[in-house]
Amino acid sequence: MSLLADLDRWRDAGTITRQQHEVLTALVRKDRFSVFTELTALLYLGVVAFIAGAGWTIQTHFARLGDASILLTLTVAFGASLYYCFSHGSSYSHAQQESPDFAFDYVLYFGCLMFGLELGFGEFRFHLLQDRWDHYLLLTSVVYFVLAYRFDNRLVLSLALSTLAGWFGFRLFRLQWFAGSLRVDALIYSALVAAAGAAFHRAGIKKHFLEAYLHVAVNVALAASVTGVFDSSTSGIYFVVLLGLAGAAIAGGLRFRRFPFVVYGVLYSYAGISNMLLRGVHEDTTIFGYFAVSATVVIVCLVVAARRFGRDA
Amino acid sequence: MRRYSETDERHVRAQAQIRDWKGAGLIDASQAETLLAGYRVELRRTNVFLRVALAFFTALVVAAVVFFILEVLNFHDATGMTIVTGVASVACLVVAEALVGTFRLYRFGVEEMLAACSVILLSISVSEFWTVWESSLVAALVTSSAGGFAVYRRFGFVWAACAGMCCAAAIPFIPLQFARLPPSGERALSAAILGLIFLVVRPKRTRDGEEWPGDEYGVLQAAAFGGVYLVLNLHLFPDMIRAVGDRAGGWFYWGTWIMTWLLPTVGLFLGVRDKDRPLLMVSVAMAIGTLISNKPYLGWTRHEWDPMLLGVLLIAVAVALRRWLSRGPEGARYGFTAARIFRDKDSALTLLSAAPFPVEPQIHPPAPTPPSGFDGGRSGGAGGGGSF
Repeated sequence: MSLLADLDRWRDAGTITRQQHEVLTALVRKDRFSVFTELTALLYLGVVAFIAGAGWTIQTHFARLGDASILLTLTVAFGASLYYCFSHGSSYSHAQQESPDFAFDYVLYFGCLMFGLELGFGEFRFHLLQDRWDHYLLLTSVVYFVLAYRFDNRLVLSLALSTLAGWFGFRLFRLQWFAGSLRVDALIYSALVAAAGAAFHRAGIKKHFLEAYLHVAVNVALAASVTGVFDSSTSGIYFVVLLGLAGAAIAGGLRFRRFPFVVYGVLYSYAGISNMLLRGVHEDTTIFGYFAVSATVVIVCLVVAARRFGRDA
Repeated sequence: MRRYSETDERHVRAQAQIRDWKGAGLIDASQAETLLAGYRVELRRTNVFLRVALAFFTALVVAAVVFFILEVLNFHDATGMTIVTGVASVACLVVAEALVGTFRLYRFGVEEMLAACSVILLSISVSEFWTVWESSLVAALVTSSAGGFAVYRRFGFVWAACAGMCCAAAIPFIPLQFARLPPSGERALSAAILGLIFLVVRPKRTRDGEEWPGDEYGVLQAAAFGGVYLVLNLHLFPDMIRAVGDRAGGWFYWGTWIMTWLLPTVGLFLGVRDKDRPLLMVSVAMAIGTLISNKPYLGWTRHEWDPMLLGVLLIAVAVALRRWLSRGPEGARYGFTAARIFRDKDSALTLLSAAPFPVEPQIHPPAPTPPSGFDGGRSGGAGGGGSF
């Protein structure tokens, strides 16, 4: 029996109202077909393509374009974005707010990326902060955080978190991830991010942002810990840290039904534990035997967790 | 043939729709409970995160067990590999069947990965029969392709059919000693295979619409259509295609250029006419691919600002369509609306958007050296800069 026939049956039985029947039938028959997701995806891709092109153009032609014209254009673009957001946006609220219009979130995102581009270009050309250039990242992240909270924009919040991570010493694309003290920086960063997210949540300020904070904090902390385990000079302390963090992620994930955190905890801790247990083992049969048995144990545990906590498909 | 009954499959989809309606506020919680009560299934399912983790660890177990047996039995020759992987393939399938039959697992990760491993191991086993590398690769691809479609037929895993499709489309690219195709022939044959799959699936999709198994056919149809485009667009991946593209003949080159415009146009027409979401999304992606690859096709110079123009075009299209649709009666035109109905449908986009955008890493390049006066066109004030 088709869903359409069921809808008729539910209407006749009084389970749904006549109005609900009309709306649901229109959806099932595709008489009302939403392309919201497709249009939003186009908008996002458009903004990203534009920013990539702007960065590339400036990098290649800045001498011909001139510093003043570039800075003026970027400033005008950022200012226009802000003007649009302040003039079209609703007043600030601690609670979650709907975007006032379709393009609003992406206008702000565009403006923020333009601002980042402008600061990057300014430092590239004028070296105002010299060796302290990383303070630009702090400034940028502060601006992003303020705008993310003011306009309830998770896209900009993710920008703010990644920029703050940059300020904490992450050198994306420079192959120095988690080397030496950067590992400690990473743990401090993740602790601060998690604490900030929790504090805002407790204060009732944009409570729905908490998960974004935790995704970043948990991943950075676990990744830093597991690389510490892989490093034989620091493996002992980081192994304890890893187990503690992974245990907390799994327990919290199960308790609050946030299963990505369960998966993070399981994967990172499995990598760390396997590294510790197999250190110095060179016998292939032992290694394969270990993976066969240990992965089976993990599967059994996950199945138990899935049956008890994660039944929703 | 199917491991799950038609009733189960339909009920699973109906449950998902009812949850969507509830999430969108179209029905209330008590109504949803009442409606869901009519669609009970005796299947064990889990959420997508645990499903992926379970699949990962299942793959790890299978790989470890196979290598363990090979090591213990000291089977390092082709015959040993053939026997062990062949037996392991059968064992994986038997266990997958048992898990579905006994525990009623449905999209649980474990049974899916076991079925996938069964096909992969069988392909390795079959390929070990051949001593010539190319022949063994073709044998592996043929087996994988057939196995992927068989797994789809048995368990309904759409991804298995898509993987089988990819393997089938890859077969013409393997150069055989006795039958070596020219590059244009390889691509034409590969596109023909995918086109044939599209032609086989399309009537089924048209017949069933969104009702099961029509939703599965919709994904397969879109995947095959997108596959034809990927195979025929010679400039989509510059580094990979350059060598092959150069070898392609003139008529073929321009034929593929026409196809890069024709396929998205036809796809968009069919997708809009039938309100077929998978086909619509694939066609939009193809259209963007065509815009990106058109200049290299025509031999025109690419400029640094081209992505900006593409960005402006995409934004303009999105905004214009949104405005046009929302100004229609009740915010819709021809049944299309730009309003958001289901909130959990755009989770993939949220994930995409959450990726950090790497603007800052370029912030601190080495200081540019002042021009020496002979390295560009600075003289005269109006000259362009040299290289930076």
